[in-house]
Amino acid sequence: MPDSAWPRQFDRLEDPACNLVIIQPTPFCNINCRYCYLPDRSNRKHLALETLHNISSALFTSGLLSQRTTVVWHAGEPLVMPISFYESAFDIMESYNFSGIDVTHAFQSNGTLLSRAWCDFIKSRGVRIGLSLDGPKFLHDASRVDRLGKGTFERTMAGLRLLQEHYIRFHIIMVLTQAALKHPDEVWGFCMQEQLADLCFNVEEAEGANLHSSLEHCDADSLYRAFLSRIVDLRGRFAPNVHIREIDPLLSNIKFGDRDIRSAENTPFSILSFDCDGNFSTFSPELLTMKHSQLGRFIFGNVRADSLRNLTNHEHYIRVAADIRSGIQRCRRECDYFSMCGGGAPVNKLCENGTFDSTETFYCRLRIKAAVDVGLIHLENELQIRKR
Amino acid sequence: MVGLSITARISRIREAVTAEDLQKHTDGPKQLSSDAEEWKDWQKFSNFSDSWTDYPRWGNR
Repeated sequence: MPDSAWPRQFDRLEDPACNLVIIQPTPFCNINCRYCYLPDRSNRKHLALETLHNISSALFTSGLLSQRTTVVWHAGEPLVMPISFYESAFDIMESYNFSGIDVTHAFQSNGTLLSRAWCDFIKSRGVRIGLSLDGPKFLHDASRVDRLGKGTFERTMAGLRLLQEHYIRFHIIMVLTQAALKHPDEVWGFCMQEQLADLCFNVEEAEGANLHSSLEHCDADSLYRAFLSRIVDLRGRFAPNVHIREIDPLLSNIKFGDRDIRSAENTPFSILSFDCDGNFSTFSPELLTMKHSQLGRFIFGNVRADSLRNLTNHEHYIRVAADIRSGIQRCRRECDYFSMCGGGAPVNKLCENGTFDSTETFYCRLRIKAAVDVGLIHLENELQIRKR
Repeated sequence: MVGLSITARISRIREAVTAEDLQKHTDGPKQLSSDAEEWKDWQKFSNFSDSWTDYPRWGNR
């Protein structure tokens, strides 16, 4: 890749830079998953509408937003807030949207608080929603528990049924623990039984408040490869139109080379994150709520006092961005998979290697390298490319 | 394909892609209409490779 292809946002802003905005309505979550990375999920504070005015003003006057931008309400359970909050919040944001940006609002939810009223709201406002559901009950309830330690499977499934009854599209995010990786057939069977057609698999990571992953003390690489291969095989045989986030964009990129290989997470301003106090950050969204023992927090300003465009002058940002950039350059020099990755996820580099200026992580061994290998074998078989 | 680099394997795959496959890819996902139809179509043609679900991969949630 020529140097000219490097994201120039490291040095100066390019317009428009951002197509994903994360806003934290509250850090609070009504459940207490064993692997959750959010450190402040018992805190019931919430985003004041006055702060949202500041966020909206900062965003829509920055000139940083792409013509199509998604606003994800996350970093706490978004449905803890009442519907009336979002009715006001969406209207406030739209009142600053003078240039007609096509904004899609989205919730990533545990589904336990969904109701008919929520479904009506989601439909009427065209909100995208994803449910966090770890597959069949025995897998889901092992990790996704409430504050009394009880499984949340039935409550999440009740929410899922409501979405289906209201013809609302949704995707599923499953966190793959060691137990889940050992049960691909059960996971697939469950998805088919429940007619789940849009699947995302997050490997359990050690980051933020989750200091240890269940995948640390097993041959996670082999388990993940076997899991993904089996899922791709089952999908091909029984439900070829089910979308799998971990594999479909990858297959498309391998075959057609038409995707931007830059990672949004390591490209400045591609993702902008705001907490409920109006603090903002960029790069990996987890950085918004993280506190590192040496580097501290990754807050680069507050909408009450700072302009988003001045973020590049923030001393802490300059140091972080330099380390991230150096880490990407090392990935580019050292890794055969760079063309399918773009240099990795900064938060995983920091949490696993202690510095942004580093290369391979557990996360990329699975999410990138293993997935690419599975994708290559799948396509070589599909296209009947002769083996040497 | 032991012994071949990732780049070489990708090149071989791209050479083997058929014109029909490329056309299908260029045409993009099927456009959807009303809710019920959309739901049925979604079940059959779920192909949202450009959807926002490409993004929120971060974190155990």
